[in-house]
Amino acid sequence: MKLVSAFALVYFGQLRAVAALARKSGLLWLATAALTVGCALCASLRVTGGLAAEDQEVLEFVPSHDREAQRPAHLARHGVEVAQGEWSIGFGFVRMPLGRDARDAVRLVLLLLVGGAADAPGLLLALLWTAGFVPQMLQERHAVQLVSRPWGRAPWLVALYLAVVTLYACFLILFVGCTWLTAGMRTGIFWTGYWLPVPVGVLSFAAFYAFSALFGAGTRSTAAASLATVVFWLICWGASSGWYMLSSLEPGQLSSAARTLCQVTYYLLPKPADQTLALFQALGSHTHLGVPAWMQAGVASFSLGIYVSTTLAFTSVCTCLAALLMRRMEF
Amino acid sequence: MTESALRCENVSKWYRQGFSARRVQALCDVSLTLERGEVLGLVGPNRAGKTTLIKLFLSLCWPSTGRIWRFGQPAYRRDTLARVGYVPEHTLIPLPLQVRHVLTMHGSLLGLPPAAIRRQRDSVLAQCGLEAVAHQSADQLSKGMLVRLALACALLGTPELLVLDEPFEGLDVSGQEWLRATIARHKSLGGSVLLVSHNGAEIERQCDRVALLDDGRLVYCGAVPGLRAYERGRASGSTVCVGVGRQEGPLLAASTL
Repeated sequence: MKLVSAFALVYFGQLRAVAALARKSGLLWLATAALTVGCALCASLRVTGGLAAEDQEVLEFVPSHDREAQRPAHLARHGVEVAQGEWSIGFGFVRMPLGRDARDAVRLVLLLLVGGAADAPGLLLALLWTAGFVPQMLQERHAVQLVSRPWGRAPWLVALYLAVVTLYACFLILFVGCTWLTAGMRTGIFWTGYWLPVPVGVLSFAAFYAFSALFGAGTRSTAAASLATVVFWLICWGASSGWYMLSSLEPGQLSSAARTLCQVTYYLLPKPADQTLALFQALGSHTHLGVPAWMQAGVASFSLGIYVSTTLAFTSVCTCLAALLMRRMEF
Repeated sequence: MTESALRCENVSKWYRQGFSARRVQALCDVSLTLERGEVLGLVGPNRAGKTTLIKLFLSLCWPSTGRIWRFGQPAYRRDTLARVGYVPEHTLIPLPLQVRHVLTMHGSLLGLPPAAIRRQRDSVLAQCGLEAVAHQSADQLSKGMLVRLALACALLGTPELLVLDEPFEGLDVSGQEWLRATIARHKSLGGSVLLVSHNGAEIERQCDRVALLDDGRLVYCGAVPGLRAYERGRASGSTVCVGVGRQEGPLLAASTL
């Protein structure tokens, strides 16, 4: 119990240090800007019209811009409704005809926002910005006094890693919470499924940041850690995308060695393609966006359980290796 | 018999240079003891191995050969580090953390409970004249104030041993006076000090004994006046007797320079 409270104290110290680094590096300003833009977009959202019926799943309808909508009498005979109205964003600057109803329009806007924050663009930006935190904290001039303390070096690094992941989680929660609340207050539509990208995004960030911390501890170079993290993300993206493409290939199109390599790398490494698919499923995006063609054949093989468990395993291994490296590090 | 504050026996340290196989010798067969209640000066030219020896004593790096003890315990036992306060040569706090938060962070790494951290933090802030800047960001402090902050961090947990690497650098006259008084007070309370300095006058003023490192080798260890004789002899190129690492040991080795 004493050890837990001591670790909590070190963790909060690291959290404060990481927040200070984020402020110094401009990350907090970037996060604030993203939050402001997200909230402004949600506040400027306006929806008029829509379908009359509430139960959109069983309703037969066509959007107003559909060619069929020009024959209202014909549609009425078959009990098909025309989705009338429009939605606008940027206080009327961008206007679009309504595809279905107000709820649908709100979901599309939130989907695009959370896709930017929790999927590849937001994740890569956060990784690039935070990759320097571990090397900076391990700079000899700063670290020697800290690591000459009796507290173990390995838990010190783990606390630092957890503090950075916490910072990202806080940003994501704040972003999702604020945009959800703003869009809800503006339109009266509170979509609870919008919160699901938070755990998916944090899990993915934790995995890639574990690699970043390992590389940062090994090289103590911000540039090397940033570059390595982006290259590693690209490799992982290629490996996980390749795994989905495998299903669409004929047996003779790829050698068995290449197939095995593809399978092994898929299960060992973090999976950005799976992250996109997990977000896709969690948000029910199929009504708005289509799964990329090269992934379609493998979508049935996607397992959320495997994605979560292998990502957690990778994160744990990387964090343990970074902690071991820290224990043996010479200053 | 009480155990020594610091002791090393036949310690050598070499580094690999970059990716090449070439090894650089930083320390060669050094044996040294710092008794409790003693102020030992560690002197030598640049690249003599002074900072490396300090880092070995503080488990910041590991010896290639030889053994090291802190307070009678092998150096790999980290718990004895709680009895040591360290002021590094180049004090730099790159974080825009408030001074009091820097101290809190150090307190947490000592394993102190929150109430004790707060109490000791306020005490060292007053002791080091940092009360006025307690809420100021550490990365905006002057060099002299940074040395004070580093010493404040080192004094947390009331250590028995202070390891000070060039602490007088960057301090103004009043800061130097204050540091001298701090060292004297620490000694009067029975604490030990390992003081690294290029300032001969400070070494003479503060230290009971002095150890001279040159090119990674311990070439003199003994009383301060003896160091002056050694240096005079070195300058004239004559044969000089030098002591070994233990204070109570006889003069064993002779070096022709």
